[in-house]
Amino acid sequence: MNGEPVSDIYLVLTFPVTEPERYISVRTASHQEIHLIHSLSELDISSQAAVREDLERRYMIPKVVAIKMIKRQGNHWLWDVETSYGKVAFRTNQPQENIDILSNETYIIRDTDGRRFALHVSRLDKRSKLFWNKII
Amino acid sequence: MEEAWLTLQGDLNRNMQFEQLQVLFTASKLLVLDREGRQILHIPKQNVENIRLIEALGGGYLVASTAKGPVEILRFTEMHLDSCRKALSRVEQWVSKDSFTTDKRNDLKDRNKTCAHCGRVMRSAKDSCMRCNRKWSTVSHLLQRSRAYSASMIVMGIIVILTVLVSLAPPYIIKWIIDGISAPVGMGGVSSHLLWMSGLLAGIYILQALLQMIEGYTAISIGGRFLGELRRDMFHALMKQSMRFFDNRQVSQYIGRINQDTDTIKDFMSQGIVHLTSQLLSALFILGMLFYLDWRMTLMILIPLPPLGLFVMRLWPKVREMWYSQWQSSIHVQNMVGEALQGIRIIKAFSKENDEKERFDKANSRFVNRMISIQNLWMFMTPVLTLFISLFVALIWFAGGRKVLEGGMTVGTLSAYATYLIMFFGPVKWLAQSASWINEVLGSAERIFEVIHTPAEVTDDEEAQPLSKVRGEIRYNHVGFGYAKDRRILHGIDLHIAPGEMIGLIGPSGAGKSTLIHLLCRFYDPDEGEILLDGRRLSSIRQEELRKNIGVVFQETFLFDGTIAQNIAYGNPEAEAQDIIQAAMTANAHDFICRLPHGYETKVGERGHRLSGGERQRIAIARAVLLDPPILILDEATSSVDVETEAAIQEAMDKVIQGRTTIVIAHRLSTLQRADRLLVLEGGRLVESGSHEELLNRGGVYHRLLHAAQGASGREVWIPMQEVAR
Ligand SMILES: Nc1ncnc2c1ncn2[C@@H]1O[C@H](COP(=O)(O)OP(=O)(O)OP(=O)(O)O)[C@@H](O)[C@H]1O
Ligand SMILES: [Mg+2]
Repeated sequence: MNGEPVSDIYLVLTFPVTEPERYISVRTASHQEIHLIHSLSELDISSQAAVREDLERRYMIPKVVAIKMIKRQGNHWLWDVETSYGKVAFRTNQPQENIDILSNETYIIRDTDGRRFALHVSRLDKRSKLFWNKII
Repeated sequence: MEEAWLTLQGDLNRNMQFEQLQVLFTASKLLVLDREGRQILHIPKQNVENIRLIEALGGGYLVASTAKGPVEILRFTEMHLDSCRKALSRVEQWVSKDSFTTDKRNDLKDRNKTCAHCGRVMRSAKDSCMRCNRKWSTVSHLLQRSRAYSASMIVMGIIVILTVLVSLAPPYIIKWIIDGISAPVGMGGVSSHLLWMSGLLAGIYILQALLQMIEGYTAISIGGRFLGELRRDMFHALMKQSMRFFDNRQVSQYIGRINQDTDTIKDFMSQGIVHLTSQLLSALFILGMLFYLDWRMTLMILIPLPPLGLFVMRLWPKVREMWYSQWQSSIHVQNMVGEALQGIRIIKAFSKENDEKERFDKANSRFVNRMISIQNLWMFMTPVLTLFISLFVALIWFAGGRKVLEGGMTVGTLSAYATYLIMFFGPVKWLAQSASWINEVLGSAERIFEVIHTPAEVTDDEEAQPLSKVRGEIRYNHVGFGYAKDRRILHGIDLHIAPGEMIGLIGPSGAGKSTLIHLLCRFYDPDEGEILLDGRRLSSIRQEELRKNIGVVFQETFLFDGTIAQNIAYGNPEAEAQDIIQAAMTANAHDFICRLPHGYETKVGERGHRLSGGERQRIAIARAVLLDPPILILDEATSSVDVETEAAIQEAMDKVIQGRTTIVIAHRLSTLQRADRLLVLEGGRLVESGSHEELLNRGGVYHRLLHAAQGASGREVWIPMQEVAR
């Protein structure tokens, strides 16, 4: 990757949700950083694909692309959403405590099963935004 | 077909799409089934070389190595990670052994806990049962709580009924008066009739005033007691919670819950219930009167009620949501104030005052907007309802007037009827509007009961025995632990500490040293293995008793807002001044305390901010000393203090550790040299143990850590290990 071949390395996304394609730390098996990829676009197309594939395996955070419904039931909120991993329904406790704000527009939702869903507000459609604004 | 001895669930398919999948392990093979139970993969056991679990952020994979290369057998998100982790060792056994005893204890699967209230299966252990958390359970909890006040409540009920009845009388008496005046009877009869009736009317008004006074008095006393008890129970419930409860929550919101939410409920219990019942009763009684006066006209009036009810029902969920978001933004504002004040030094140091103001204004205006929008919703209801009612009254005057003209009704009856009608719509209007209030109250009650009914996570065994004299023998048996599911902090810790031994625990920052201590104090329970004190499992010892026997000085010292003496005596409030001074002397704190003008009575300020870091530490040491525990734990602060203070703290520690089992998380060389035995923790594993010399000679991790530290600083002081970590 860096001129000389290195084996047995792994990749770390330093901003897994807000910057999924930038600031990628390349580390050896003994956790030494050997390179920080500032942006995937620095790499040639085939390396990009390889990196993407590897990252996809290491970071399993579905992204919410549309909210079909958010309903409250007792102390729970039932969500019906469309994600990058397909349709899914999940449950959260108090949104207050289970939605982490990463930036003005990026959020992490944690459900009662410990799953995490990323959400980019600007990528939601109008209807989803309506639901979202009621919650947050 | 062979029976499966283990089933593991997955929820992602090859295309990274959600799909329920499962692998079945039978004695001779493993099978992967899709959602419909169709077999999509099949590997005979003899082809499997090993099975690995690859953990990713948010999930993981099970991969089988075969002669032809690795085969992914299952992919899953976080929710199934834990059960796979737990199953892994048995799967490994299955792979390695020829004859695997397929015992079908399904303890490897997620144990399905059932809800203690309704017996329904719950989906995850931490989760509270959904069915039991409905609105009605909130209402029934409220009712249960009010049972304690049944005597006052009954008094209240009687008063309410009386009040309602009494308030019904005046229009009827006025009807008699009007009919009396307008009827062409002898003058004398009328005037004495008039006197009687007016007297009666006055009497009724006096009675009404009296009843209102008693009602108000009872209501206030019920509400006040209710408020007190709710707050008490809520605070007690918070104290009972284990550390994880606080780790996962924004703690400052509970200040709001204890204050505002209980207040909302108080208002409801004192005024709300009275109003609600009296309005309901009035509506019913008045309706009866209306029917009695003229049932045909009354039927006509009732026509608009069903649509009105429907309308309120439709609005109900929306209102509920609005109240929730209003609450949420009010909590947000509150958190912001709390955080800003706690961090005021940083804010000033970076001159971020204006940004903070802006942030606050934004949150505040959001809160205001939400409040306004709730009020608006009901603002428009009021005029609409009033208009509605007025129109009906006009209609009644017309219809009733014609009846009077036709002689079917007296003028008095008509006037009474019109008055009752207005009175009838009063409660109806109130009830419609109170939908908003009731929602607010239910929201508050839910939040309160959520806290009160959350069970503590770390619990003692039921047959926990009292602890006699503690010798201080500590044993960790294969302990594994993680704060969250997605990250293990400690792995397979095996450890034995003899009574009276002094252990020095060292390792790079983040190795899990403090975590090891948290487990001993039972702030958390280990996920795997067990910890024994004097040969007894920690869970068989009552937590308070356990902690009374362990004196801890934490890495970050926390002092309560009180005097120095109060802080030192925190674990032992009966301590005499004599003992406090003795403890302070042992902790080398006495001298600096004497230099303070108010001595031991110096107020330390919130979190002890009026003292320096080193001073705070020594007070914390004195606090542990005064407790005189058989086990002492010192988590040395990584922050460096000046050499002199450090020597003072060091000396204090030396005096303190004598005759106790001591664990010191050490960052200073002098501590390390003094320890009977050193344990080196790296990456959550115990990697080395032995005396200072032994470990130095071995030239392993300890040597590396120490060497780097000394090389970097030159003097014999342990520097924070962050820089040496890797
Ligand atoms: N309450 C918590 N919730 C989640 N993770 C935590 C919590 N406390 C600590 N951790 C994590 O656990 C790991 C071990 O923390 P621990 O405090 O035991 O480290 P340590 O060895 O005491 O380090 P130091 O020498 O810096 O005090 C750290 O990586 C930290 O991020
Ligand atoms: Mg620590």
